Amino acid sequence: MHQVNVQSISISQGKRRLLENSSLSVQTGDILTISGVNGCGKSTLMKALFGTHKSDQLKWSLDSKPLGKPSPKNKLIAMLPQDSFLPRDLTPSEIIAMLFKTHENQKPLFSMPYVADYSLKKLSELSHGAARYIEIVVILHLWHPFILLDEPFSLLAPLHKEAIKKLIVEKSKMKGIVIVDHYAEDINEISTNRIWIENGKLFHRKVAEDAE
Amino acid sequence: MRSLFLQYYRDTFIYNLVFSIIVGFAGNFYICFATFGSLVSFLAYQYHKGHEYYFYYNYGYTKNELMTKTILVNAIFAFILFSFAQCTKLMFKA
Repeated sequence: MHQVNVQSISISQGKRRLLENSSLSVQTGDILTISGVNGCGKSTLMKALFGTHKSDQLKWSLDSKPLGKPSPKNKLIAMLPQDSFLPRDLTPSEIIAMLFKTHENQKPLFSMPYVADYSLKKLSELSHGAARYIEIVVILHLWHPFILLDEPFSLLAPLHKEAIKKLIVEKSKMKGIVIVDHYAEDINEISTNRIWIENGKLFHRKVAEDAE
Repeated sequence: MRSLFLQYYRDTFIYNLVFSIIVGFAGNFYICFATFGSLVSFLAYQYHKGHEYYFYYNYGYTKNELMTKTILVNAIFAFILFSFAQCTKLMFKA
């Protein structure tokens, strides 16, 4: 069980301040969803935590131990970006073999619905939805204890969405998962905690509070 | 099974090779391939496939690491190619 605690984060995009001295916390078992209007800083917050956007100020810890500068090298967080990120000239089989070295680690991916059907076609030959589905499956199976998913449900076919929702719930038993998406009905169904970004501040809500 | 770095290297290699061949007509192919051609290949990769960096980030590679390794391999490759060309020239002269 791990917990990432962001005590304080401030982020800007150019001259525009997106987040000012905000805090959030994610632990194993959480499915945290972040919402807000377009351009409020949801994706930038994800990138800042992943280490691909420089934050103005960040104070954070893992299991109460202070963490340094975020970097992909930490292998603490994996991230699904908004744009497709897997090489389109490779097949899902080749990508899985590159990222997951042993047969034992590859097996759960091939046992996911539809993956075997797509596995021998290049990503460029698959529909955008099918390629996106493969990307999400790959990200959720990586070894990182925390996963950031930026708009995972856009472009997905309804059957793919259902399979991904199931996988997110299953993986959240071992990982902390943060999701940004505009498809409220999809993410509300599976989220355990919610955050709303408005005027540079994060507003927290437990799902149980919403139900009340 | 191809490694992640080889995938990146292959993608940047094509840009570097094309650029260095063009420059090679006017200047030195080997020097260009080992230095300026690498930089051009990074710019071209960023422009055409920049979003694919996340593939490498998720495996723990940083952009700097990928670029440094690529420059190093390009320098070694250019040196081997240059030595081979010089040896071949000498052999034909003899």
